[in-house]
Amino acid sequence: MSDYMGKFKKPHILMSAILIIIAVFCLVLILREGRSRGRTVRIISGGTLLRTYDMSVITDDIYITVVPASGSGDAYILEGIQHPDSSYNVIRISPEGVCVTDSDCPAGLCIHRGSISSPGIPIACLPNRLMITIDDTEESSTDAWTY
Amino acid sequence: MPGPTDNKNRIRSITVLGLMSALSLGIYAFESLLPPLFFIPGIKPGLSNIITLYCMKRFGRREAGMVLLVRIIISGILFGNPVSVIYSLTGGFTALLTEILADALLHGKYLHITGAFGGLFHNAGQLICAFFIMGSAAVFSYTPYLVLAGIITGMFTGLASSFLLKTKIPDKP
Repeated sequence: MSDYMGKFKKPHILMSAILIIIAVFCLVLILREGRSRGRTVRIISGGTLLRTYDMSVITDDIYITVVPASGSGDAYILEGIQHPDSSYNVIRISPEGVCVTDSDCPAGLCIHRGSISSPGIPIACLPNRLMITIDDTEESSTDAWTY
Repeated sequence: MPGPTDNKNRIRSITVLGLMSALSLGIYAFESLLPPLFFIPGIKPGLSNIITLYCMKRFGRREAGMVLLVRIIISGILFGNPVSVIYSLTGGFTALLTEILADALLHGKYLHITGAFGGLFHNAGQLICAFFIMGSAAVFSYTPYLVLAGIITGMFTGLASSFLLKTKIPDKP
């Protein structure tokens, strides 16, 4: 391979250029991230869409507890703040945005993420396979994001 | 270091690679004690890549793969769970294969570029792994953050590794 690649006299320039282009492209994507307010909140556990909320009709704080799928059954939602024996994430949906307030996961990144209100990067909890996304679309039965 | 041809070389290579695995595990354990840098899962310094790169350059590709595998399995038993082992395996070996290829393309020079590619592909591999485990394409909205973080942390570990390689460490006692 090195004989073949010897034709390129300065591979490091090409490879640095590739890295710089990718980095600048990523930076542009990050800076252009939407600042608008989203409409539909989706609570997804293990790829299954459990529930959607329409942000425009939410007036008070709503608390739900999501229990991920385990050996004993599928994922489900408990109303209110609960602390089941299994894994869980407590989610607060308020007119200002959505956040995870409590979780049994070790690092607690989903809690540190804080509140989200605009379409863009979702809240993820990898240990509990939870995703919370916000998007601009109307609530609908077909969902292109989940599988 | 040549391949383990006779018994003495064999013993030495087992010892040295065991030491490298322990070092890598220690760095990994230290890193897991640090508070999360950012709210996105997967963004971390990846300091044990310093040892992977060092092993690849100093002992060989196969040896680096062995040290990486030992580190992932033991760290999985000590601090992790089966899911974190899957993430580590995907990320670690995607990174190592990329680094082997990048190192060949760069004729063994510019280790920071090799490291940056390794970091980039480590995160890309884990992202694809997350897509299958989380079952949601929404994880791909993290792509720009993870790719950028991979390049920066990979360049740092690559630089650290090239400084380590310049340091004279005696082969024989």
